[in-house]
Amino acid sequence: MRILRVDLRHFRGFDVATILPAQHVVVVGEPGAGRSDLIEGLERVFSPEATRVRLPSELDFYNRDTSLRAEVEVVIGDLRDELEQAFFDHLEVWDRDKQEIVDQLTDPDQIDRTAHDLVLRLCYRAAWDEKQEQGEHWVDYPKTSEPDAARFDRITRADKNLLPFAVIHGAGRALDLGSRSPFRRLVQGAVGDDFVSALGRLEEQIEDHAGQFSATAQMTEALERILEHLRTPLALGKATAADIVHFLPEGGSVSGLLRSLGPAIDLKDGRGVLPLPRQGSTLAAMLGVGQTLATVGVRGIVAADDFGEGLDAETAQHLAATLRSSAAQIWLSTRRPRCVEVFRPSEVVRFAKNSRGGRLVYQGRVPTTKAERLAARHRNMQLLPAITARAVIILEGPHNRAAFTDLAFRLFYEMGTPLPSAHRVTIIDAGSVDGSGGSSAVPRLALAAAELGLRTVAVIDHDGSSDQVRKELEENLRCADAVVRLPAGHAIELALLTGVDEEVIKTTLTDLSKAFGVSLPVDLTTLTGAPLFAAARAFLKQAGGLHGQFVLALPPGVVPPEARLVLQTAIDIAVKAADGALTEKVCVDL
Amino acid sequence: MRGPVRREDLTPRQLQVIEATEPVVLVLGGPGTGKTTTALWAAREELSRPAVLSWQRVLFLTFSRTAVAQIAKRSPGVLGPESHRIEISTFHGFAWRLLRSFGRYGGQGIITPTLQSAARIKLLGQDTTRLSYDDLIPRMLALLKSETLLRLLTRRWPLVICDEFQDTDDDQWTVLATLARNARLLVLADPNPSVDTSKPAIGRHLKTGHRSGRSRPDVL
Repeated sequence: MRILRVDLRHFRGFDVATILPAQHVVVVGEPGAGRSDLIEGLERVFSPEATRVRLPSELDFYNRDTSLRAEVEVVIGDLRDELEQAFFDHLEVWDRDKQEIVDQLTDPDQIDRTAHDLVLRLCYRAAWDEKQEQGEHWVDYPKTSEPDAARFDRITRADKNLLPFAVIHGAGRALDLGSRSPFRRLVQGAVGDDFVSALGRLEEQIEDHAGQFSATAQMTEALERILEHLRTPLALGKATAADIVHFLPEGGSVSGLLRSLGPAIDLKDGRGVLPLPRQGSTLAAMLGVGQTLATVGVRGIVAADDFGEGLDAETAQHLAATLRSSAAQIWLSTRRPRCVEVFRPSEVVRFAKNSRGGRLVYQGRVPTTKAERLAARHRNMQLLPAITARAVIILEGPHNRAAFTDLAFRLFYEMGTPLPSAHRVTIIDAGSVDGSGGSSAVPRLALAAAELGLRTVAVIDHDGSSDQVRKELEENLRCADAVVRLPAGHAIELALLTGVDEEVIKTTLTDLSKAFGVSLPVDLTTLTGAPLFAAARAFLKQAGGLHGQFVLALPPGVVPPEARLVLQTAIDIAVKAADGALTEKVCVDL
Repeated sequence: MRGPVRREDLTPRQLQVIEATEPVVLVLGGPGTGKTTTALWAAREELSRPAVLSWQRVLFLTFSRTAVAQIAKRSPGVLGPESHRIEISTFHGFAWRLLRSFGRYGGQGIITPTLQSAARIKLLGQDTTRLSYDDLIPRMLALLKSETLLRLLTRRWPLVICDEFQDTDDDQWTVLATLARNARLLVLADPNPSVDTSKPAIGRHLKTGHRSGRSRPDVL
């Protein structure tokens, strides 16, 4: 089973939004842009528990406007015989190309197996009752419901239970013996009935053994002292204390008893048997994932909100990959780039906010060629650091990024200038090392970023032939929201050197030479002007790039003025773009 | 006609019907000879066969709502926990169900269809927005032109049972023959001559529908 389409209408922060998943879905985006609401919406549709009690508040309605129903509609495909026949009368025809339900046809022969699928559509709806000050909510079949006439064909709890869906709720719910817990359902769904008889025996034996308490001489004496003054008012006659007072497991029920039983684990690592909470959150999370997969099976859908929180990056990534490869479809919302890494670019759904607080949904495109697929994968990795940002500053290569990132730190620590991250702006690079391909890689990455709803500022060099320079600018302006160009003839090295005292440059380069064991190309002592800059440039490009190190090695109070201006300009424009204050594309030449 | 409920109470002839695997089995018997019970046992037997999958069901078609109610009342006694896997319906009810679920793909529009009675037509004239009772089966048969829908249907029921088979008309027979493309057919008939002479004889249907030799008449 797989979700083919989700439509959110008037639900929480969503006015209207549609998600058309490729295969799996990883939901990323700015805080407050709707990641949790989407996962919650899915849970409302699938989980029988989610609609058991009425809605306590109006918060589920967009803008708290309760005049409209809040709705989450899903189309479920890949049903296979079992679900297809279980929901026989509710099946609908799905158009694979248009990715929508076919309402009607004039001739049944038009149902074409190469273009159509039989699918199931469910809709969660919430309606507010002003008088009672609470909401009613349910899940129905839109096919046979008539919302205008307020007639809804609701799905039964039993039918909901046929749909293999589970939500992972943080850690700590694994191996829970509670009667409604997924673990209990898993145990009771297994072949045989020996667990049930073991439960019965446990209850009897506990009663037997605990019954002996009140028969002991010590307890009899204590109880008799308590009952002494109560025998007449309670009309207890001559009954013994042991006959009157019994000790039973909590509430006298098995479920009460089971609540007091928690899993304890021996990992054979020399620590012995420890209660699960003492084993740490990582093991609990792993067991939670294992349990969820066991519950829904290979045909099921697994959802999780804020996946990877509270876990180390490696475990989070491994668990995300395990889920992705084991379930028919997973919907993970996450803030962890390492979790996003295990998904295809087409599986990334990114939520962003516009300047008026409205929510926007972006989806990675499904590549049509192998070349496109490889490039998309590569660019996706470059964009990973920015998945929760509003805007990105795209630099040509890692040297530029190292230099500007370290510059931003120095400006923050020495001058209190807010970091780009304070504006939810992230600096990324297009991956070119030697600068030759950088200017053409930047626009392509800008397009990929824009597809995910990020605002983009391209920062490019300004060197090469005049024709090349013109073409580069055109291409960057086409793809990015704004372009910041270094002064004519300048690349990153000159931007770092220009305006810095020559003696300071010499000392810093000498320090770097010693620290990194990289020899200076020439004796710097007598050099000045252009020859000094040329030598410094050549030096900075060595050892895989010493740009960031140069910025950090400059003495306190010395910050390259040209590079600082570039960074500050880029940040200002990025913030403007993110705030929606950029009315047209701009190119700033420094 | 309280038939036996336990398997060991069945007669050898009844067991023969239950255990049959032929594509078509015709059971002839007068009222009270236990045809329905035998058919329910055959349904139970079918559902327990290893080749029959958990999502498959048995379809039991008959003519009157009274018959549906009677069969439905007796089915839990025979099928026990599996009784949800037998779908009992009149021919018209069956057609109505399919038209409600899939009629929208046969030019019917997305609005749930409504029925008009013969009396209403006499009184108010033909209402083209409503379906008449006589439209149901032909309209439903038109839906089965769709290979996709037909595949969905024929995979659902590995066994189709038809009660009062002597009363089937040509359209109803077509329904059975279509559903039986992948299913076994168990037909129950009363051999006494039908009062309604407009309905074709039992033999003609079975001959036209199936190659000779595949069917096995069996008399209770």
